[in-house]
Amino acid sequence: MRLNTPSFQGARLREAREARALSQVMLAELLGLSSASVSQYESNDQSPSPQVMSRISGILNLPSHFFTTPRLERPAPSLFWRSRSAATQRIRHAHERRYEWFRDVISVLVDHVEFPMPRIPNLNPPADPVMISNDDVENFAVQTRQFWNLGDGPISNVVWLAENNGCVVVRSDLDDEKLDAYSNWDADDSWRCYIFLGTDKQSAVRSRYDVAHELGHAVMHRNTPDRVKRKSDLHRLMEQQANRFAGAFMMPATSFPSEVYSPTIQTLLHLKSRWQMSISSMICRLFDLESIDEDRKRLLFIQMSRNGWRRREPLDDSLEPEEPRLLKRTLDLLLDNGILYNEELVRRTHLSARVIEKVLGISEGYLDEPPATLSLPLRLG
Amino acid sequence: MKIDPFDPQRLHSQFLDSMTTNGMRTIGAIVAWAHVRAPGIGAERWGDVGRSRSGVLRWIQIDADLIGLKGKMPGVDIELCDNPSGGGTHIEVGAGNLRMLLAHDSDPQTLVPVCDYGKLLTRSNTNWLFPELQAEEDAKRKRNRSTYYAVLFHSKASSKGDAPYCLEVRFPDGEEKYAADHLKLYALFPELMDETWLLKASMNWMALPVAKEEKIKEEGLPKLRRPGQVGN
Repeated sequence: MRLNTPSFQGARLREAREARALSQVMLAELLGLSSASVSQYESNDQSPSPQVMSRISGILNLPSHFFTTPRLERPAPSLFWRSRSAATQRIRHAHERRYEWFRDVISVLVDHVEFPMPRIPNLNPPADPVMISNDDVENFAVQTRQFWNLGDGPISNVVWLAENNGCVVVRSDLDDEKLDAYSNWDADDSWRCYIFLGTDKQSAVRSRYDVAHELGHAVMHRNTPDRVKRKSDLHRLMEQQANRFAGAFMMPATSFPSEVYSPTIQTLLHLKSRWQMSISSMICRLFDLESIDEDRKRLLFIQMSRNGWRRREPLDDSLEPEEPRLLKRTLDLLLDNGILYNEELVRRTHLSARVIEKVLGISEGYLDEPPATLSLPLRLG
Repeated sequence: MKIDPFDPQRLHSQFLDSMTTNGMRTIGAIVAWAHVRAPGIGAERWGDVGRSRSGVLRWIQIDADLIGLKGKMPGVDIELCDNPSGGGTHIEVGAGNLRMLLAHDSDPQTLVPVCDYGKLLTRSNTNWLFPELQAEEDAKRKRNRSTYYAVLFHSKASSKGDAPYCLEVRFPDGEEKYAADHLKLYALFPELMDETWLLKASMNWMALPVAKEEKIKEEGLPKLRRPGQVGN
């Protein structure tokens, strides 16, 4: 084996490539190499020359020490995906890689700070999602509100609610409109929940629903084994349950329907600004509560389609998305007080400043590192 | 209480015998107040008066208000019941052996599903609160054939700023069809025309419950670890 870059880790190159959802062929084209070369680098049959290494580092926007440092072994994450079925395995895999990077950064941050104690209620849900009925889901939502001392009114800011209760929320460009959100939790850290929201659609109300959906997974599926999550039919069922939870949590049966004075889209549009939920989700909620029947639900969705509201509803332009604050405040705290420096963060995570900003959902340039001219932004595809 | 002398079935007297004066006044107040507030509060909360508001909303308010009075009026039962001539649910007000049906129609386009008082079928701007009875339908549902039905009719005067104008209980004739006679509630209870009185009444009985918004403060802040404290 010809060793041009000492300690080169082929697995790291694969990791970086997959994090951008690039195939070996695509990366090879970007590097001006053959795909066979990339394959050989990744399998450690060959290591890149210093010149190629420099191009790899620049193109993938990662420091060279990333590629020479073995990854700390950690169990593969089992993420909950909130996505349309068309979201490809390649894109999901990319976000699994990014999630590992995110955890790398978090592990550095928590050496210096404590996040709020996780307070996800343990309602002893069954491990098998098939055993969870619709009534159970409704009850879980009610109990979660009670656990957090909430009444049954609209929730002004569900992102802050999640953060106040120990969740870590990230809003960043997920680079694929088929992917809405995803989440995971850390059983070793009091079930701390990590929620990732996309900015791609820029819909505040959809994003609120996404947070509630992911909270639903955290409440209801904490005992579900990973092997169950990976079964497509059960995954679909868990998604349905999380959707129902989101509706029940955000629009309680004891309050929301009493304000629906007429099941028309005009009525729901009036209620949208108060409840800050999408008209679509309100229709589904009314259907879940059997306040409207299948025909009325279909009629309402037909009316929405006629109005062109299925893709973008009224008020979507004016309602501001709720912004997570916890991670930004954490970085402010550490950097402003000289407890942690950008360079140390880069050195310890082996990630570039741009990538760190991206995985934390922090605005580009926050870590004050000029972007490399040759580098690719961290985008998929 | 003086009643109209035309009372072939003695419905008036049976009605009044079985329903307390206060009970009748209360129901009248609810209906009248719903008239008054439908344009005002509705406009503030839900926008301009439109097809769905002018009729449907009024009935919903009346139903909600009546359900709110359930168990609070001696001698008066207020219940959700199946619609005897179609799907859905409506309100029945009962006093003795007399039942009054409110808000009833079978037009599915105006289906009004709301809150815990269930599904209610009504038609926009309809003034008839009670149905004509259909013997077959009635029999199917095994309703008590001795039950009397009354119709609560109300309207407002657009020329007077939508003020309450007419509030009557109408009784079916011997064929159990439309009203054979009526009881003018505004004449019986003049205070129902007084908006101040209505407002007071509404404060006690009729406020639509609106859940208070849960204001979430930003409290999830990171804390620095103490020196030597181990990270997780």
